[in-house]
Amino acid sequence: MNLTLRTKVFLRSLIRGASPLVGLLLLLSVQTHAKTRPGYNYTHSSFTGKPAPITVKGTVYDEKGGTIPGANVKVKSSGKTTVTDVNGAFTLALPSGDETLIISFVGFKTQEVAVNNRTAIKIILEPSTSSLDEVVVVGYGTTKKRDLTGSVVSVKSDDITARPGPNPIESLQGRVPGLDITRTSGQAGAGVNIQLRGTRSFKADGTPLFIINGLPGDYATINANDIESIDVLKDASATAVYGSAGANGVIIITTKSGKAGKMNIDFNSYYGFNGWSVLPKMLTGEDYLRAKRDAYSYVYDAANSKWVKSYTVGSVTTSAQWQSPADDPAIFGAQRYALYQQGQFVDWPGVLLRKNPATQNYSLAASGGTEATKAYVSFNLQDENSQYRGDDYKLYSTNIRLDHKIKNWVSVGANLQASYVVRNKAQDKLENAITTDPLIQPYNPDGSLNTVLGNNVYNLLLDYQPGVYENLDNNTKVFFNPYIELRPIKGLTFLSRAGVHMDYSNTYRFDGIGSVSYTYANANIAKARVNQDRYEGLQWENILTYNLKVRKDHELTFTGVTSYYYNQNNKTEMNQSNITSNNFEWYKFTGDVNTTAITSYTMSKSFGLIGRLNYSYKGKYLFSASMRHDGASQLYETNRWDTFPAFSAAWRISDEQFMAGTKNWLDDLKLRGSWGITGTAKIDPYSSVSNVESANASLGGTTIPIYRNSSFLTNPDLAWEKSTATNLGLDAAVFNGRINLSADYYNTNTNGVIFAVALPSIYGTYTPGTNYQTNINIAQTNNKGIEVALSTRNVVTKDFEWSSSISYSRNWERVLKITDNTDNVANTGTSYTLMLGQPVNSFRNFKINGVWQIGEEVDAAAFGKRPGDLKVDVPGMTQLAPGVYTKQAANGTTTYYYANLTAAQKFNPALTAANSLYNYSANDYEPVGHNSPDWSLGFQNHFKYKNFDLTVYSYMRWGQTISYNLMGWYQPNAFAINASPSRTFPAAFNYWTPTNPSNDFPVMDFTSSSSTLTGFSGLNFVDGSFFKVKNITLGYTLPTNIGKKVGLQRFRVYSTITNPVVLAKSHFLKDYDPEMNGGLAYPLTKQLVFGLDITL
Amino acid sequence: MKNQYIKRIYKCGLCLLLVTMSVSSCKKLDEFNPTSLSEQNVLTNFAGWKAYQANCYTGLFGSLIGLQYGLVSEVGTDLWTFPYNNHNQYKDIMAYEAFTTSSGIIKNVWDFAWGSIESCNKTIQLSTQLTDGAANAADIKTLVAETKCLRAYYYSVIVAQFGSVPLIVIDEPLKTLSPERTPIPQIYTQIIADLTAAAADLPVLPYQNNAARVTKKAALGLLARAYAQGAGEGLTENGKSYWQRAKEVADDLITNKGTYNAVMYDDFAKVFAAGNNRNNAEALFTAYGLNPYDPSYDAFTGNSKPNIYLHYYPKLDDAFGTADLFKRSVNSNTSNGYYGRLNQQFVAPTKYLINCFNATYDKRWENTFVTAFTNYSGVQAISNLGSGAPSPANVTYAAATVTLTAAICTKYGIDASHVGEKIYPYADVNARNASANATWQYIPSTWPKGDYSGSTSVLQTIPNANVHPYPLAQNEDRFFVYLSKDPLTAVDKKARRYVTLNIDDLFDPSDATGSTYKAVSAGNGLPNSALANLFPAMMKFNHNFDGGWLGGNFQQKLGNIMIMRMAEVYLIDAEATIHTGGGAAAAQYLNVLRQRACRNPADFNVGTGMQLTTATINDVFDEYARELCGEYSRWALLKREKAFESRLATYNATAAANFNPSIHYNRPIPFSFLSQITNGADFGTNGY
Repeated sequence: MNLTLRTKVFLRSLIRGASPLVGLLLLLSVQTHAKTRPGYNYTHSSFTGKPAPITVKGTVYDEKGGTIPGANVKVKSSGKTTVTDVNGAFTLALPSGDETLIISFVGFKTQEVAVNNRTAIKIILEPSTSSLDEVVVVGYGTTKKRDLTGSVVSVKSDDITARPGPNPIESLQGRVPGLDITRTSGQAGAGVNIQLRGTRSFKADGTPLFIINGLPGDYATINANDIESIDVLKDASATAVYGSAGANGVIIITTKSGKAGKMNIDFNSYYGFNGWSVLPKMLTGEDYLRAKRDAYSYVYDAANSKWVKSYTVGSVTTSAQWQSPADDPAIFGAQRYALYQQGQFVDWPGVLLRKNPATQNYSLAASGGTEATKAYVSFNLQDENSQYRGDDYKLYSTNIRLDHKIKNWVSVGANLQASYVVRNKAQDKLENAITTDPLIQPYNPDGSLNTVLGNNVYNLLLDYQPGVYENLDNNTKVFFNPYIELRPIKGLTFLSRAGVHMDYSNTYRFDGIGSVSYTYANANIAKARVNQDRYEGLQWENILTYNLKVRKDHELTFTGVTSYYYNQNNKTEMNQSNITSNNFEWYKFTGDVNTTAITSYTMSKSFGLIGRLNYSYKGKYLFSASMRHDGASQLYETNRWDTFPAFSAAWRISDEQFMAGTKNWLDDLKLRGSWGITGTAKIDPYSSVSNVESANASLGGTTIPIYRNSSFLTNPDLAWEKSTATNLGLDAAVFNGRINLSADYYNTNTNGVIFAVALPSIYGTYTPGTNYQTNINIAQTNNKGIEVALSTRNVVTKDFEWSSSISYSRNWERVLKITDNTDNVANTGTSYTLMLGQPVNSFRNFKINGVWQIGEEVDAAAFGKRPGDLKVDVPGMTQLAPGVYTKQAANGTTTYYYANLTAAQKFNPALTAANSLYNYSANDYEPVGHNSPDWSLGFQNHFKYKNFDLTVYSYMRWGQTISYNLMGWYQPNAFAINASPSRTFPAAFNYWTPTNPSNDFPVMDFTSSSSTLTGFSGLNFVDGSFFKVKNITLGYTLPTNIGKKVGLQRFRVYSTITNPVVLAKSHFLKDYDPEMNGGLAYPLTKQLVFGLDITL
Repeated sequence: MKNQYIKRIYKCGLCLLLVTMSVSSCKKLDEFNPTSLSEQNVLTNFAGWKAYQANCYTGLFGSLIGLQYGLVSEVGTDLWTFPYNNHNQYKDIMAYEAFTTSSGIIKNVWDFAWGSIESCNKTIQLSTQLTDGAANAADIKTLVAETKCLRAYYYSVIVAQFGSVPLIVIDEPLKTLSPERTPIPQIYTQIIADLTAAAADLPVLPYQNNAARVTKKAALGLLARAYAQGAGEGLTENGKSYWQRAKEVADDLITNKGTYNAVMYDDFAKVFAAGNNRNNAEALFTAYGLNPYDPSYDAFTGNSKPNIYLHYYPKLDDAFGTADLFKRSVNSNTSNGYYGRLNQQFVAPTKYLINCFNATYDKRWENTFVTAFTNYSGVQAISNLGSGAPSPANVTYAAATVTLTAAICTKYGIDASHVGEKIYPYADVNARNASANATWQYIPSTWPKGDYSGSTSVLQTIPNANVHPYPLAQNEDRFFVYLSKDPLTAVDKKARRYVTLNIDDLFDPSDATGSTYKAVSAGNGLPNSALANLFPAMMKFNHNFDGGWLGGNFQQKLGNIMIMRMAEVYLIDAEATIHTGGGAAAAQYLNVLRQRACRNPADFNVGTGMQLTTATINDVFDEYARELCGEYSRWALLKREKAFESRLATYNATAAANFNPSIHYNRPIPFSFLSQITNGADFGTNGY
């Protein structure tokens, strides 16, 4: 059975990957729980007396000794309530000294304290460990964690700021099961790739929908210190309310707001260095000489199937050009041999990259408020430099949140997120640079830059000359979302929220006289380009919520929403060529024949109507149902509207009577189940309409206008891709919150996956060589998976604490249908091939079974191959005897392949052809792996000793195959005398020679190249599994009592090292960080920062 | 209480109002698209339709006359073989080795040839619906005829290469992903019908005087060619064999040359003269190039500009390096402003092709092949532009002059008596910046022999700057290497101050068919083993004139490339005449070509062999080789004459070794196409 097979696979991988860790942790936490006691102590300053009215003065502290303003203090008997002041103090007049007080505050356990006639009480609140009362933000509302029916993971601010870095979302890597996050580039300000619960869609982008304070926002520029919480909505019951945009999951970011009665000033900063990236060591010096000699040491004697130093046919003797070191000058050529003799091998990355550029961040936030008005303002400056000179990222951002209660039933407020980013970008051809001929010098003897490095090899140092090159972008983003909230009757809230989103980005590119582009690509013409993109979005949402309690046990919540989005994109591009002076950069466009301008425009609108009903019976049985009716302008007018329903239910087993016996150790046990339909938003504007493009063509040396069909042909039936998702979940908390477990199983079927079918060229091409395409909802995918999140507090003593958390996810992804009857179709615009039964992002290429070895000549001959050539796996090929093979074609005919007729005739006497060689070709392609991981595991350990804290976070991502570009630089012909150009490759590449029977790389022979070594392209696909210690943070927090003396609520210094340990599974990935996913434009760095957090 | 009630209603009403407002105002979700046009908008009026028709030409220049079809239509025949060290490159089409459905170059030919057919179909279909005032019947008739001519040409390429394919002549909205093949005769019937209609309706002079547009003579020429190619399939029309029909059409075109504005130059040198590139009188059908001086240069819509020429040249860097005799590398881009970039070395002539020419009398030899190589100076550019001269032209006369040293002479086997003598440049280039994107032109002139002044006033302009004097004189001092067609004696070589090789010595004697060049290997018998990289370079497509260069990419050239020229009509006529039984009559057609090829008019006589009295099919093969080698025709010729087996065995053993007649008469159907359709297995690969 399919299912059992998969279960087995899962179990095996779970056992292999995670289970020892899980077991160990469980054991530890149970043991330590048995030994230690949760200690909360409060001080007695008591004296006895007879019952009489007294006035109690008290102060509420947190576990670290800080005061808690705004805590609720309630007299148990009378219900009389007060709130602690700014200093955490309260005063209460009580009828007698026998009263009991109930003290509560968000995030802490509610505590009952008997007054016992004391007049001064010190109360220390213990943080709430059960977390069931935490507020979780869901689509168009909030709920308590205990009432959740869907699969939602909530991450709080401490965890987000625990890993300092430019992108707050990166801190979620490995923390949210099912959310796969990678950062592939070390460029300053580089983004991350995010994918939730596998790839469902064939279009490349699977980024979830990001909602910030209710409306779509930009996560990349938000300051991590401003974030209160991030909630990740994973299953359909949680995301279906977002309809056509919800299939990739929804990530809701809530920013901090001011709190009543509490004035805070926070200052957070860090300073550090980015660098120390590990790069493959290339062949230089003696290694280079050895490779060069190997390339010329052998010639192939075809008659005898041997690599030899020389052989003779008739009167002609063919000899290898290198016989002894005396031949070195000949194989280098005179000019290069002179360079070799000088021994000046160039370390190209060393020439190009900075060692450890600085990175720094400063943020300042002030917040405070009264019962009626709360405000939060922050400013952030971030400055990151990358390893390329002139490559940096500066971010200035602010976040302002204002909430004001005008009347009891009316509140207004606004939320402003604004950022300004300035980025300088270097030419990022590191991969080309490190493979550059190590013998060619970056500088000429006279000190000028050497521009002749070989064909298509650019001396990137040209762009480092002052004033010759700029690639600058600046980007202004503003999100302004005012709202009004009405509460006309009890239980009814009406929230109307409008927003404007403006995104103005400018890119300025200047390739001046002497720059790389000027010298090589632009034929000595200086050029400048200005791109101005103006995005404007308008959003308006109305949310009506009605909460109703019927006879105590029944709670009903109805939510109704209208949601309207409008956005438009204006793009302008201006080009100037023939710039006569580098002074002008992009400031002097002349408006003549050397100036061109291009504009473009797109827009889209969408509208959604949402209804949702939540029902809870005694908080034990929870139900939810929702429906979204969604319309979008991108779709054809008759096909514009669609509906997305969802249902979910949960059962809190631990609240049942029959579970009463477990109360002492089982805090919570809940089963969840959900079903729903979501959509995917990635349909480009105008793609449902077939258009004719107007262009110009050159005909007979003059310009004539032409019309041609646009590259996408119409499909009026195009609709959203829809995912039907089922989720089963289990939440458990035991031993007073010491162990928390959350596990989910999901199964998502996506039907009508949009596939851009390339029409065969017999139906014409859009432009020569480019097929027409048409979008069809035709394909199907399935994703199944399990997710486990386990957090434990292993040791809790007064001075020492150790807690751990593990998040594990495993996903099985399959393409079920591409188009009717097709399989193995290239996914246009990606490097992947769609194959039935394989994950979406799968590679299809030659599968390499190593290299044909000496001794296998007879077998190799049947394929027309020599020892040293690549041994390509041929599906369906059967060996009958040495050198004799058969293969059955799809139509059932069997073909014999052989080089020696006599040998083959033993199996089939009817054969007559002298030989029948099998040629490797694209027909032999096989699946060679997928880019999505099989499983990933995040493992965090947090230690605390007195005021020191240590966090070690490690991450494993396993089972993904990467296309490692550097493999392709193994080019024996790049060692030829007049190679065009000469190149080098990593020293660790173990290539085949007649004396080195390697199975990694084929023969080192200067007449061979990637195009002659059939199967070469299959070498690129390497197992990219890795383990890395992502961060280690060591911090020290000043004890509160000392801090207070100098007026600080909190003072913490820390140091974080990022990426200290990277281990790759594959031996091909020596000195390479596999998280880069095969590329090498901007290597990932290690980072060391020192930070300071102060709260006044 | 009541008051509160009213207040509540008022509040709730407010909420409801807001909701209603938002719903009513937002439900309209129309797209606003100001950047594109619908077919209905533009293709129903004449101007729009005419612009749509113009796109049918997009498939010609760059795509179908570039490297891809350029090689596929010529190599794998008796004319071309591998130079040294390139056996692995294109061994599928050159030698039928490891030939599979994943051949990239075959895929390109398939895609490029099909690319414009759908536009042709739609253009022809829509032509009947034009009713606006600008639509006049004469214009429509001409443009439809052009389109039919183009469609027929594209199909003629496809059917010759791939055999039976789907014949699609109507643009249907529903495009089946399980296409069926149409039998070859039906495809030829369609091609003939299109060309016949086009020949009837096309004007003699191009529409709107645009030299890129096809005319009556193009349709007639292609018609003759299509009949000849179809004749190879044994086809007949109304009882007449296609050979007969080919002859009739060819005869008509020859006899009524004047009527059709068809021309034969009186001198072969004029066919590829720079001055005749743009408006070549002999051309019947041209892939019109790009004019770098005109804004239209930037409007190029093809795939890429043709890079065909360099594949026929040796890599001079590999033979000489750039440290002594040879001064400016041809290996990298924008370095050598005379040769361009010669970094491929893919295709060399077979001994058969070389021996086809009797160079003593036939000037087609030096007008087709470069056999002497030179350095060049940029004196004109420097004097005009000073330090602003772009680097390929920034070469002084002195920098282009070589002084022979003892070391050089020893290295290349030049007689020691020449030590101290100089080798001067043959060419001098001017540089001119054409336009923002096309950038520099390198305009060649030549230095007269014996003048070493380096003064621009003595420079000469010759009709084709690629052509050098033939034979090269013993005392020539403007070339550093010469590949002599006539074997020279050791004594003769001694007298020459340049590297002198006999072409015969470049071939590996162990291959009697002359399809193997020697390897660079110690003891290969050449003065310097690296000289085994050399071979005669076919120059027809190396546009070396003002307007022919692309300054940013020396691999690409911008001149026109002829798809068919009048000489081919004579060859077709001769071929068809032999097939319809007439050796002597066939010779008359060949003699027209042979006469104008004579270096001296007096040489045209039976004694020299330049004049034929009768002709055999082998004479026809030889004449095709001499006249049209490289010009996109040889593979189709061998196919229609069913001559691969015999001619490869005799003249190209390298290709014969793997030629399998049951497979290789058709090209493999590309893997990518088979994977795009749903009936790939049924459609078949053509046996690959």
